[in-house]
Amino acid sequence: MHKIFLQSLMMLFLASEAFAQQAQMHIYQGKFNSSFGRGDNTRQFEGRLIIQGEHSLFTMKEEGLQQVGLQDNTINLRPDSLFSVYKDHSSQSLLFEFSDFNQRSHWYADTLFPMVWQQTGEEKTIGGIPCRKAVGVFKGRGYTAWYAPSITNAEGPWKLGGLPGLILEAFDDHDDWHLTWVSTTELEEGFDQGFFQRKINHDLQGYSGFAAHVRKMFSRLQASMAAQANTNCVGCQQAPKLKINSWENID
Amino acid sequence: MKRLILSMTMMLAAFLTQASEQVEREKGKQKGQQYENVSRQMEVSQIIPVVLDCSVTLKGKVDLGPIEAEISCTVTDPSCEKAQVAAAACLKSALRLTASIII
Repeated sequence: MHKIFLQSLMMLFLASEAFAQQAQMHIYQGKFNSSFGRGDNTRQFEGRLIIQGEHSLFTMKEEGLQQVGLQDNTINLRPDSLFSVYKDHSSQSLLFEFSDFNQRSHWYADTLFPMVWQQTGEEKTIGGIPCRKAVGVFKGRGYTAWYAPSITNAEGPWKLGGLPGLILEAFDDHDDWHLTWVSTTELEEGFDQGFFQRKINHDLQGYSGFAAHVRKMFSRLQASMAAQANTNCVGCQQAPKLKINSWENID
Repeated sequence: MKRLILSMTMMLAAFLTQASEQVEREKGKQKGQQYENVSRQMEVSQIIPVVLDCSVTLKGKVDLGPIEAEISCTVTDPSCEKAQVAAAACLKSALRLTASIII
C-alpha cells in the first residue's frame, strides 16, 4: 500500500512537472554496441534528457574511463557525448551533433519526429509507471518504445519521440542500442538554449548535408590511403579498403 | 608310340606359349595402371599450389561512436607467412596514416 502511494505520488509529480515548464532531468541507463550488425563492442552509457518547457537536450555519456587513440587496431575517436540532440517543439526543430575526425563538433538539422509509430496494445510498468508499447521504423532501423501516457510529454531519448507520453524505454530491433529510464530530478538551472537557437537561426544544413559530410570525410581518407599505398609499394596487390558503417542510414 | 609322344610335346609347347602370352598381357595391364596412376598424381601436384594460396585479411577500425569505419587489408600469396606479413604492414601503414591525419 505504501509502495503504491509512493508510486502514485511520483507519477503525479512527474505529470505536474511536465506542465510546470520547469527543467527536469530524466536519467536513462543502457548500452550501445558500436559494432552493430558486425560484432560486439557493447559499452554501458548513461543518457540524460533535460526538458525545459518546449525545449529538450539529450546527451549520452559512456560510463567509466575511455582512452582516446590507437588500441588493438582501433582508433577511438568517440566524443564525450554520443547521440546528442536538441529539440524545440515550438519551432518544430531538431538539431543533432556530429563529431568529425578532429573531434570538432558540427550541428545539423533533422525532421522532428518523422517516425510513424504503431501501438501494439501491450502494457508493462517501468519503475512503477504504467507504460504502453509502440513500434516504428526510423532511418532504416526498427525501434520499440515504451512510453508513459501519464507523463504527457511527447519526448524521448535521442531523436525518438512524438508519442502521447514520455518514452521511458527504447531499443532497436537488434538490441544494439537500449536505454531505460531510471530516475527524474528537478534542475535549478536548465541548459543554454541560446546556443542552439542561434544555430537554428543560421540556416543549418539538413540531414543530407550531414550524410554528404560523412561520405566526403571518409572518401578523402580512402584517397589518402590509396595514394600512400601507391607511393610505398608500386605494384602492390591493393590499397586498404574503407567501409563506413553508420547507425543511421546515410545512403 | 613316337607319334603320341610327339603330339603330347606339341600340345605342351602350345600351352606354354599361350600361358606366356597371358602373363605378358597381365604385365602390360599393370604397366598401364601404373602410368595411369602416375599421370593422376601429376595432375594433383599441378593443382595443389593453387589450392594452397593464402589470402589474409586484417581489419582495423576508426570508431566515431554512431559511425564506424572499417579499414581492411587483403593480401594473397602462395606463402601464408608472406601474406600475413604484407597484410599486417598494409594495415599498420593505413592506421598510421589515419592517425596522422586526425590526431
